[in-house]
Amino acid sequence: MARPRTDRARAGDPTAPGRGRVLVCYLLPLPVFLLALCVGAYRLAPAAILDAILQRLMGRTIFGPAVEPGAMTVLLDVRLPRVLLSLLVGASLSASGAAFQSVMRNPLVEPYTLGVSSGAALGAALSMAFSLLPLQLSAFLFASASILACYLIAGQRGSAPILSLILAGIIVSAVCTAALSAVQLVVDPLKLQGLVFWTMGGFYTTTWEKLLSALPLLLVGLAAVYLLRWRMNILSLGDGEARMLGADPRLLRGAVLLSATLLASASVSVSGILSLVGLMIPHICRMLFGADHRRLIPLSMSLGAAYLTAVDTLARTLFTFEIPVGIFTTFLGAPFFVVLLRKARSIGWN
Amino acid sequence: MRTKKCLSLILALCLSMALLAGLAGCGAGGGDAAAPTDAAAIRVTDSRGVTVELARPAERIVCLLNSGLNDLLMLGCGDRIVGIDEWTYTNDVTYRVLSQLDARIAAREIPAVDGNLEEIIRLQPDVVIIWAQDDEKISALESNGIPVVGIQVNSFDEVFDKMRMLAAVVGKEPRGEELIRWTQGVLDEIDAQVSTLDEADRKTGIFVWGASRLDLAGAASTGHSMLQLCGITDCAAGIDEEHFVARMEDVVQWDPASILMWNIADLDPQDYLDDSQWANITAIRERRVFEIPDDKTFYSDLWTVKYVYAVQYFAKCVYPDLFAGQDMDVFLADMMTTLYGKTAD
Repeated sequence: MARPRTDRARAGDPTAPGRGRVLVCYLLPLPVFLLALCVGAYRLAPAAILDAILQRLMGRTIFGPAVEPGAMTVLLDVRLPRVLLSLLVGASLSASGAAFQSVMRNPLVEPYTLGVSSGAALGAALSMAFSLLPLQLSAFLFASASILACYLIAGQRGSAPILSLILAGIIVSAVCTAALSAVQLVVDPLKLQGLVFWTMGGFYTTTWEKLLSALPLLLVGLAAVYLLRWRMNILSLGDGEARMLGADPRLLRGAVLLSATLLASASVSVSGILSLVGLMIPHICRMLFGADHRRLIPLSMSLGAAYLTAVDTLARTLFTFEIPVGIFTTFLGAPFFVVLLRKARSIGWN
Repeated sequence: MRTKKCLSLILALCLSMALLAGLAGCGAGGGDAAAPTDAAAIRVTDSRGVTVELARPAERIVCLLNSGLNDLLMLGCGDRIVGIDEWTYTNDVTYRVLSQLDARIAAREIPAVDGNLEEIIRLQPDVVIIWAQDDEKISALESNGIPVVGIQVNSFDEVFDKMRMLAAVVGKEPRGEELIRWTQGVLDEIDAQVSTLDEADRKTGIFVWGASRLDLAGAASTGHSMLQLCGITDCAAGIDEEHFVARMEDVVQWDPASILMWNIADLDPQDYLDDSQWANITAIRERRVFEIPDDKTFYSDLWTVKYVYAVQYFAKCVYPDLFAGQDMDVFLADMMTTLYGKTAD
């Protein structure tokens, strides 16, 4: 007699339907990556793409004559770093969102809750207005400083109660937004237009240099959140239960928040503000695969990477000019999220 | 009893205030600048399509846009200006040059009043010249009975329209036409030169005027007109926007032979030359990337007839052989003498 489907899944049966869905989600970034490489304003046949890669790596082609310099530039210096960065940022924002939600035990929290986005926007604005620091560095520093300010405001005798932390995030965001408005008042109109575009998020300025500058921070953050994923299950039980299981909840929470902050700050510094990704993707994963962080974290990374890359591909191909990706992440993500929310009986927070 | 008295007092106060506000509203309505009157000596239709009427040429002018201030100086009406915009004083290059052209600006005697409604009313101007999109300021000024001329400049033709409007406001139409004729004459001379080019020798190009390398001028912009006047085929002519962020892949396909840049603080020709993504673009390979120099932004103002300096500068940069005989210092001195009656360092 066959065991019920849930029992088979719990028992680790590889033929359980849940496994197939999980596998599809894990593998999704690969076809999205290949599709994103093939699609763009500059038409490139798949054979030419392979030839271009071979020509760069081995100095020869297989399917045709030498690839023209324009095609080489578009594929290897424009499209490839952009696709890789969108994969990384998508994975980072989603993992960061899942981690924040877990630590704060609040479904409304996302990477930007603790003032990361408004802090980064202020950093970018100051960099554009006064050129004291490079834009990316300034955005990163101000994003990190905003979170630090939240901890200092909310801190009470060495700990930071979650509600105080979220309220501190609202205060810090408001202050950063006011400061941003003040900078916008005095900034040159040409810079203002660049600032507005930056705050809407996008990958159109991606270069290998930009990708490589963010890569170490993103990889360290992703690795840390991945390694801490099963401990997030302990944290989500509450501090009392965590202590009973032998864990130090303060230390653990600090480690998770530090990793998630690193991911959010590094992401926003290279891509601008991309709304909803860090909120929506972890929720979708929770609805589809459950709230177990051992699975939720890597699945959020995978789905987030595929989602953001797909959206960026749309943003750079639908019109004859660049559309900020942040607009698309919101317009595409919100209705999809609403449908899932109405269909699902629970989003894993009951 | 005492409560009743208090309530009556508050009610009476409220009624009085409402009555006063109503009377003030009636007074403001009487000052509607668009209402035509037979006594008006000057009628000007501004960029909003609103007809502004003045009983006589304006003697006290508040000008809240720097390009309008320059037009008034060119028209010889600097002494009639009683209020200006803050930017004129805070932009170093602009203040430095204008200081040499007008002693009151040099001494900061003319107050900077942008946004300060009370200060503008105190100055009792005959007219306020302001950007046409400033709806809130315009309605606040008009509701206080102050005539407002709203200006909008989206093309070089509208630069001439602006000059004609302001010349009419100050009663200097002949001088306005003289300035427009001179400008058109310079453009005709440049056009005569670039018309001699074979189609194969004409360069393609893009006009950059934003914070990033990809912030370009589209077909609905003065940047596009600039390229055309210089004899350059605009690669982005198919994009009907004033400003847009181009896709790098499109730029590679367009392969522009020249890149013209407005003076942008954080972007220099060297940024393009050093960027590996741009390395195969013809403009980069042939090092044909040109920016308006820092000290020449005042002389290249795209919102005044001074834009001819930028046209001449870029045309000479892109076609050096064609304009080999053109000395830009001589051109600048001639332009300043014609427009302002004097030169500046």
